Amino acid sequence: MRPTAQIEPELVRPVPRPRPRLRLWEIRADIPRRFYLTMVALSILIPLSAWTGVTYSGLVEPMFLPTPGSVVAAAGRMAMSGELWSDALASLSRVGWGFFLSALIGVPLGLLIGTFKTVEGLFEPVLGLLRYMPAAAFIPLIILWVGLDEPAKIAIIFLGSFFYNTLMVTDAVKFVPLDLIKTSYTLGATRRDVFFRVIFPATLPSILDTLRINIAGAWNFVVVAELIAASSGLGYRILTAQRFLRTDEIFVGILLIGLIGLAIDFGFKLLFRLVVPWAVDP
Amino acid sequence: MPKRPALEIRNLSKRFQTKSGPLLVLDDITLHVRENEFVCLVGSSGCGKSTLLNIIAGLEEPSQGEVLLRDKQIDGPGADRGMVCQSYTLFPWLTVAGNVEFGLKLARVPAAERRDRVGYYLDIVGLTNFADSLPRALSGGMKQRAAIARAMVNEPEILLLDEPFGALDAQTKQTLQEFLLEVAQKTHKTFLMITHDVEEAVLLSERIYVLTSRPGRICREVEIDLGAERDRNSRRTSRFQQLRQDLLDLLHGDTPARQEAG
Repeated sequence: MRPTAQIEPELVRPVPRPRPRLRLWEIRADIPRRFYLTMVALSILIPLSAWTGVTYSGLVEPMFLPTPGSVVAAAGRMAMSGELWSDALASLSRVGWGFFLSALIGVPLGLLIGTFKTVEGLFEPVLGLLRYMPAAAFIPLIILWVGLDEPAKIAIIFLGSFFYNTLMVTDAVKFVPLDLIKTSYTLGATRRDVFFRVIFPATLPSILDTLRINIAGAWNFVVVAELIAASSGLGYRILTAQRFLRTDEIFVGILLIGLIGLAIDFGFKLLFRLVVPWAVDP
Repeated sequence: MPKRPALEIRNLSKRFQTKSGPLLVLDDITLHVRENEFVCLVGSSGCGKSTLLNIIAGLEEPSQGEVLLRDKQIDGPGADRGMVCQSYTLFPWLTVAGNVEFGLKLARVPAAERRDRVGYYLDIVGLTNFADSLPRALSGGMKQRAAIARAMVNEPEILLLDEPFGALDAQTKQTLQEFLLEVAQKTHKTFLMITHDVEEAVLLSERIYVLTSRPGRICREVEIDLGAERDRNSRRTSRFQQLRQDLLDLLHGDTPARQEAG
C-alpha cells in the first residue's frame, strides 16, 4: 500500500457520501415509518384544527357546527344518562339480528348458486334485479306487510345486506380452481364431500371477508331502519336531535356509529385470523 | 411374460359441440398400460391429451369407445385412479400431512393406519420434515411432491399425471423428473403421464404413445429400451439422445417418420 503522505492532500479528504434521497412519491413504495405516522397524525389534526378554528372563532353558528368541546360535553351528558348505551345496544341488536338472518340464508344460498348451475338459473337473475332495488324504497311495503315493530327494522337491515351477501359468496365459489375440485374427485370425494370439504373451506376466507364488508353496509343502514317509528337506537337519537336542533348530539350519534363500525370491522379481522389462519397474508 | 394391462382404452373418440358445429378432439384412441408400467402420452398442445386423461379419470365422458380398468368399465371418478395436475392443487387449509391424509379420511381408514400410511409416503417423497407445514410454505417442487404422495397414499390402480412438472423452472423440473423416476422404481406403481416434454418422457417411460394434433390420434407407439436401471446420467447415453431426437422429429413431423405415421 502506498503511504498516504505521498498522496495529494485534497485526495485524502473523505469524499462526502451523497445522502440517500428521501423518496416520498415512489409508486407503491414504502416511505420511512416516521414519515408515515406524521401523515396519519396530520389526517386527524388538520380537520380537527379546522373544526376548532371555524367554531371557536364564531365564524360558523353553533347550530350548524357545534364546537368540539360541546360535542364532548354532549357525549358525556348522554353517556351519564345512559341513553347513549341503551341506544347503541338497541341499534346493535337490530343490525345483529338482521345481518345474522341475512348471512344465515345468504351464505348457504350463495354457495349453492355458485356450485350448481340449476340453482344459479333459479336465483341469480332475480337476485341480480332485486339488488338494484334500493332497500329503503321497500320501507312502505315493509310497514304494510310487517308492521311498525322491531321485525320491520330487522327486515330493512336484512333486505339491505341479503343480496350482497348472496352474490358475493356466489362469486367466491367461482374462484375455487376447477383443478382443485377435479383432484378431489380423484381422491375419492363424492359430490357431497366436494361441497362440504372442498368448496366450503376454500371459500371460507372470502365468506368472512364478504360478511365483514357487508356488515359495514348493514350498520350504516341502521339510521334508515330507525326511520320507521323507532323509540330507541342511535339512528333514532340522531333524528330526534335534529328535530330539536341539537347538532352536538347529532355529532355524538354519528361519531359513535363510526366507532362501533370500526370495532365490528376489527372484530371480523380478528375472527378471520382465528378461523382461517392459513389465509392470513404472511 | 407380458403383464396384464391395468388400463385399456378401446376405440375412444371425443367430440365437443361448439358454435361452429361438432369438433373432433380425440379420434379412435386405442392404448393400454400394463401393470407396474410407466407410460407417457406425448403430444403438442391441442392434441387433446388433457381431455383423454380427464376421461380416464372419469371426469368427462367419451363420445365413443370404452375405458377399462382391470377389465372393468370405469364409471365416474374414483380413488382407484389418482391424479396430479400441472397446477398446484394442495388444499391450502390443510397441512402437508392433512393433504396426504385427505383420501384416507374419505375412505374412513382408521386413524392409526392413516398415520402409518401418511408417514410412509411422506418419507418416500422426502417431506417428512414438512408434515405440519401449510402448502404456502412449500416451494413449487415440494408442492408437486406432496400432491404425488397424496395421490399415491390411496394405493390407486394407476396414477394419472397431467404435466405435473409443467409449471416448474427448468432446474427443479429435472430434479423432480429424477425424483419421480426413483419413486417409480421404488414403488412399482402403474403410471400414465401426459407431457409435451420429450426428454422427460424418454427418461421416465417404458413406452411412449405419440399423439398428433387436431384431432388427437395415436400416430406411433415407441418402446423406450433404456432398461429398468436408469438414473439422471441415462440422459447422456447415445441411445437416449437418439430416442429423444426421433421423437422430436416425429412430433414436428418434418422427417420420413411422418410418412410412416400418416
